[in-house]
Amino acid sequence: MEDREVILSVKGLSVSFGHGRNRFQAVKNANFDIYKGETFGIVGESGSGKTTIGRAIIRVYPASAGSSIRFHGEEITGRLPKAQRRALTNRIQMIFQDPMASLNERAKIDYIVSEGLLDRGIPHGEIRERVDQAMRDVGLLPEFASRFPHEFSGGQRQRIGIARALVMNPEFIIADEPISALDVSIRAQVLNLMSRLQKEHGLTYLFISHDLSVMRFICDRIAVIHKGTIVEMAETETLFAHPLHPYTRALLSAIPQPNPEAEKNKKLEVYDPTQHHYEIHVPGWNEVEEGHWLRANQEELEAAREKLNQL
Amino acid sequence: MGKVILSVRNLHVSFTLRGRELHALRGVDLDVADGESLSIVGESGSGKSVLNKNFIGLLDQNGRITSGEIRYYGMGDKLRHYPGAGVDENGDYIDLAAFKKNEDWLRIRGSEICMIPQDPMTSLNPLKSVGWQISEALMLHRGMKGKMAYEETIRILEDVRIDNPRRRYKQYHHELSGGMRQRVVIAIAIACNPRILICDEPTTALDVTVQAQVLHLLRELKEKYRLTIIFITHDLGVVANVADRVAVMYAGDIVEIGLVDEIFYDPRHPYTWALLSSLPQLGHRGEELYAIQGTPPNLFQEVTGDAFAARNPQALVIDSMQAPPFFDITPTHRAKTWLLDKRAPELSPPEALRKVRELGKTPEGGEAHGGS
Repeated sequence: MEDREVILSVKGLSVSFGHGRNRFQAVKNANFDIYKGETFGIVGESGSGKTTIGRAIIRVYPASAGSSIRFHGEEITGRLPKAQRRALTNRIQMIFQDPMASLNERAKIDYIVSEGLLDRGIPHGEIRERVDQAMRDVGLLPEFASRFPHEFSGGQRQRIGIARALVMNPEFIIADEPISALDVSIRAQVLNLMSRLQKEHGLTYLFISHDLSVMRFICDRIAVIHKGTIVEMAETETLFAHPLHPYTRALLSAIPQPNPEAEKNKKLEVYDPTQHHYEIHVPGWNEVEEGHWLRANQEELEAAREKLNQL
Repeated sequence: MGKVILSVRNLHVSFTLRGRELHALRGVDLDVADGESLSIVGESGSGKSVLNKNFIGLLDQNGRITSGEIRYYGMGDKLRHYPGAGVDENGDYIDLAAFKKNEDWLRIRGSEICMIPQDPMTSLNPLKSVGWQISEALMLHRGMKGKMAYEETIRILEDVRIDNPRRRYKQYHHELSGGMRQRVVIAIAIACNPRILICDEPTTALDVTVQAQVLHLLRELKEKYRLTIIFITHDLGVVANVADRVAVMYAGDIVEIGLVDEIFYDPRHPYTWALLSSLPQLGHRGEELYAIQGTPPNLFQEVTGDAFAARNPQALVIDSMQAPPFFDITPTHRAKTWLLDKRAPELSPPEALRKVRELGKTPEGGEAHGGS
């Protein structure tokens, strides 16, 4: 696994809002690498900071001093020259949660999709071509180009949002809850579309969601975040097979399963942060087994290793 | 099935939108048994919320019942000298569809049938303390006053598992977390002492861990207050958790209804098959997930035949010509699909559905997770 190319490397990422007494640290010391061509998931509850990480990568929120985000080995936090910023916009794109709110109601579809290409010295004809191509890629008919967003259903709007990201020919797409606002029957269509585009365009995804059952289907690796701290990170099946952190276990136990028998017998695990004794033994970010990372102190780490050995 | 408390007969509801007629409910038949927990599932626009708004008289201004009855059997002796409209001549039931005035509803809404809305943020009054809002319901519906209302409010707050109720009484809704707020809304509903509690996606806005706790609370309250619960949701995981029976709605009609085990383990309608198969829990990573093609039919136009036929790759010829009636599979399970007709070809449900039973099985550790 180590020989895979790292596309994005996040080291010691912290993001905070406000100043002085009102300072609030939304993300605390996040560390992870994303490999080329994979789908990396961040899962957490509302307010856990998962969206903030995505936005810090795309430079909407500034990362705190000492944080490092490297894209293809190049530092992308802090002040950057204009040319590099523009290049980054081409290579990193974002898909938003709410397809109703994220499209300009007053603009036609071809303008919405082409907006990122404008004012870059690209000839008009090429813009047209790329917009048409992007719309075909996401399964929208070319005649939709002259319509307004309100004429489309939620699933189609999300396709427009994806086309808008795709038209820039990105390598890396941050998808922030892309299917949470969609209906059950439409979700599957959009998930399939995202997987197909990943294969065709060799995309790398950062998939942010609160829905673990969707994450299990689409992600190769998952990081679990709780109150701004990543507590566990592993390959998807490893994480589901033997979750180590109590918060991960609580989260997994709470997923509603569409199986009445399992639901009747299910046991909820409740996560109580006071169960950790971090006052004396400070927790670290440790690799418990290959590719399986856990936030734990020495004592917990030994218990986790013990547990893995018994399996 | 126990005694019927609410019976919907051939209900049609239309909305007038920009001069056009939207046929939102197309002849719904439904019996709700006393004390059961019935889940209504469907996509947005399937009419599940519209159906339930009829039960408490909160249909939007541009909507109206064009035909059909909603018989409510829960009033019992109270109907003897009932002044309002809609009472059956034998005094067995009251027809909610016959109500004309808002005053008619005042005897039903809250004290007989109550609704928990989706978003607790918009349904609580930000200017009043949460305790006051619960007491208000007690004063209006149960004639309590002062100290008595206060003590009863504290008791209800304890019932919905809010810790330190005397302190919480004085708090405002912005001081509470999402799960707490939903508990307060549930408390207000409980305070009215209703027979039927309608829950309209009460946990969609909540985190999974909180959602699990709220669902648990609802099950507890159902036993304690002997409630009949109608649960509207699109999340089949939630349905599996709360329901005794499940009704699947599509394009303004119920297409399949049965006990929860019958719907999950032996579904018969192609739409129910499609809905279950498109769950990511049943998919394999790296493979296509089953997706229902197309979109639901436009209800501005008259639907001929089976409403799902256009999206069903295995639709029969008759599906596009004539609407199927209900076929009984068991005494509790029926579906509206021609596939159940004697003359229909044998079609088996998709392979993926066999896996439903395996989902979330707990092999050793106690952690519930999806199958693969």
